[in-house]
Amino acid sequence: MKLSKKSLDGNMETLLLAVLSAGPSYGYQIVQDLNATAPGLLETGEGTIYPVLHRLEERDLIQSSWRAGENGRQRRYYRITPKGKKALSNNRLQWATLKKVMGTVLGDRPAPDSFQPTTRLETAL
Amino acid sequence: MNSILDRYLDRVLVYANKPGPKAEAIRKELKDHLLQKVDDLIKSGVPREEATLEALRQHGSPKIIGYKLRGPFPWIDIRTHGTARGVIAIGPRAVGIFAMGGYAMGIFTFGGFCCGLFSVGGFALGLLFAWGGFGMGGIASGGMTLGVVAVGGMAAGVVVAGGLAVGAWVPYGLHHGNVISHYTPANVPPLLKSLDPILNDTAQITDHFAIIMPAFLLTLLAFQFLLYREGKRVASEDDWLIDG
Repeated sequence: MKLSKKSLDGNMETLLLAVLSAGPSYGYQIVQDLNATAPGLLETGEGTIYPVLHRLEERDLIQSSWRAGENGRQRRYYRITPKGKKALSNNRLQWATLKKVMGTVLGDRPAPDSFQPTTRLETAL
Repeated sequence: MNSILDRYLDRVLVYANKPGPKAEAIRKELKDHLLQKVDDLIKSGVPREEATLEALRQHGSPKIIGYKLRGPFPWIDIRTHGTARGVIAIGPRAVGIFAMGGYAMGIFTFGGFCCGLFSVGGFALGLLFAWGGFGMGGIASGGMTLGVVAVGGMAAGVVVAGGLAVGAWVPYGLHHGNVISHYTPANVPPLLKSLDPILNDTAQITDHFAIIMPAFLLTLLAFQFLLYREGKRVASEDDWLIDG
């Protein structure tokens, strides 16, 4: 199922922190990692991760440095800071709690196939 | 190929509106991403020209990325193109606590078309106070006004005064033309009557509209021209670029 932009907006920072917790990386590689684990996540554009990365850096959750990549071009590498690790840890806890609450309320059941307004409408017509 | 990428990046940076060194860093970083993407697509068998366009398509709308790259709400944002956002915002389109522009939105707004708690402009919508050629709001004063308290050439509201005044209470003596008033001086409630001094003050200001209105309309036209010029510069030669 396609995730809505609204669902993603608040969680992209956590996702990027999680990717960077595995080690320093750069924009293109981060996109590759995200696409490999969650295809379609960056449907609105790969470039949309940069504003999030820059925001994280402004908040000292990650740090960046320029160095030459394997192709010789200067490349901006990001790495997570101790503050970022702490934030990621907090976000993981928040997410686990939210997941538990949602699971309890929704009963951990997947939405039935019939829960598709267009199908129902077509049937009714 | 670089020229196409550079034009795409130009557009991102127009919307991002960052100062020189930061803009260059963004350009360098995004360009590295795009070039890497193009290289990978070519390696996977995509022709070079198509690879470039595909890399741009996958990278996303320059407008969306550019706007997201903008800094947080600054104290002062003055710009000659796009939307100014800040505590004090001045631009063709302005959004802020104090906003001035062709189109202004905020708490205190001033411009050709403005919307806020207190609005002064050619077309003014104000929750508490609107003063303009066309004013609509709590206390509205202007050539044409609609409001709880309205003063103008044509006015409609709860308490009104004007060339043609339609309302619950039209203070006799302040209007200059036809009156349709629910209350008369004999039975007007004290609360409505107490608003007469406000109407008197604003009615005097309204007398200057003949001079002020053209100034507001010129403001609107000037900002509209800046918007048009910028839009043409950014978009006209790059119709093929994706934009959100």
